[in-house]
Amino acid sequence: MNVQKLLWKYVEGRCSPKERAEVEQLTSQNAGLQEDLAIIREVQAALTVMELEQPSMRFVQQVMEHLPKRHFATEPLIKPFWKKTFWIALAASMAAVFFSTATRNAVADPVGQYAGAVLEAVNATLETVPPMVLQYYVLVILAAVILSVLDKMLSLRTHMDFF
Amino acid sequence: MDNDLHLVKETLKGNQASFRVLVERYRDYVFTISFKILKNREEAEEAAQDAFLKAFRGLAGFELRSKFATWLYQIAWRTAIDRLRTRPPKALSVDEGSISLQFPDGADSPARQLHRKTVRAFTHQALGCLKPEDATLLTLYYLNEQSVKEIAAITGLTESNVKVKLFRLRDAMKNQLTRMLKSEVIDIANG
Repeated sequence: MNVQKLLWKYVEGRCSPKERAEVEQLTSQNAGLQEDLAIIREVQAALTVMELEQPSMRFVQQVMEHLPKRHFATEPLIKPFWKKTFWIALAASMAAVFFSTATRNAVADPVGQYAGAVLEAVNATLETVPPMVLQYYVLVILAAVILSVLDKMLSLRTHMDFF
Repeated sequence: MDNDLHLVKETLKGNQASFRVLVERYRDYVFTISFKILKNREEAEEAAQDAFLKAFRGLAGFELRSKFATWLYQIAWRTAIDRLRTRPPKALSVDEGSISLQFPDGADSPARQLHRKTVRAFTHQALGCLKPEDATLLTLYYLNEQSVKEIAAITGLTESNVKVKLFRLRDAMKNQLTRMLKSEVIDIANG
């Protein structure tokens, strides 16, 4: 490691015992490094005691006055976890339908014997599902998509003064 | 702070008093970030207010698993940087390629400063002469005690870039001090 970097690390107290011994040995043998270490300590000390700047006394009041007069709940309608779950489930079901359709129409099985067997199983499962259930499923997906879009729009338009 | 998350949840339920507590808690930090970047109290105050208003509006998008302070500082950083970009360019002092501190015209000569100011005061002055983003990096590192990872999240830089910048900035300050305070350094080294 660069000696200067090591000196900073030493002053910050982040050195391993081996590195600390190395720094102490180097500085004891080199007056230039001793000077560097002294100045680094000074800079470090000065930076560590930096003070926070303070805004005007009315700052908080001004922020609060600028907040919208009417507050609309900003909590998302759908929690991020459920959103992710929904999109994953949607992607999985679409993939299942896609492969099912693809294998029905395929002249030859392009994906191998094992994958073909899996797809057959998916096909068989889908065929056992009553059409009415599939229709409801599609409706639920559509409703969820609409809700997600609405949720996104509302989150962008929250805190607006409507009245 | 865990308490921050509770206040965020309360704000999301419509309790503005909870947001007030957050503003009171972080106003100095947010203002300091804005001030370090903009170097003008009035502008910094406006930028800090903007940052809090943006945070309030965007609270729905805040992931409760994240640290509120880091998220808020990120907004403060971006708001101040955006304001800075709309300004006409000013003479800046620290450049990543060749880092050196340059004092604005009319500043006291280093020799006079040497006799008038302590090392600490000089370091603060040097900090004020850094490029705004660089000064804010050091502020975040020392004052807000943010980790390199958090600073990277706030500023949008990579962690290694933050590390390199922090080293270069501090080293530039050290080198400048070494040149200016040569005689005092020898006294310090001798104890």
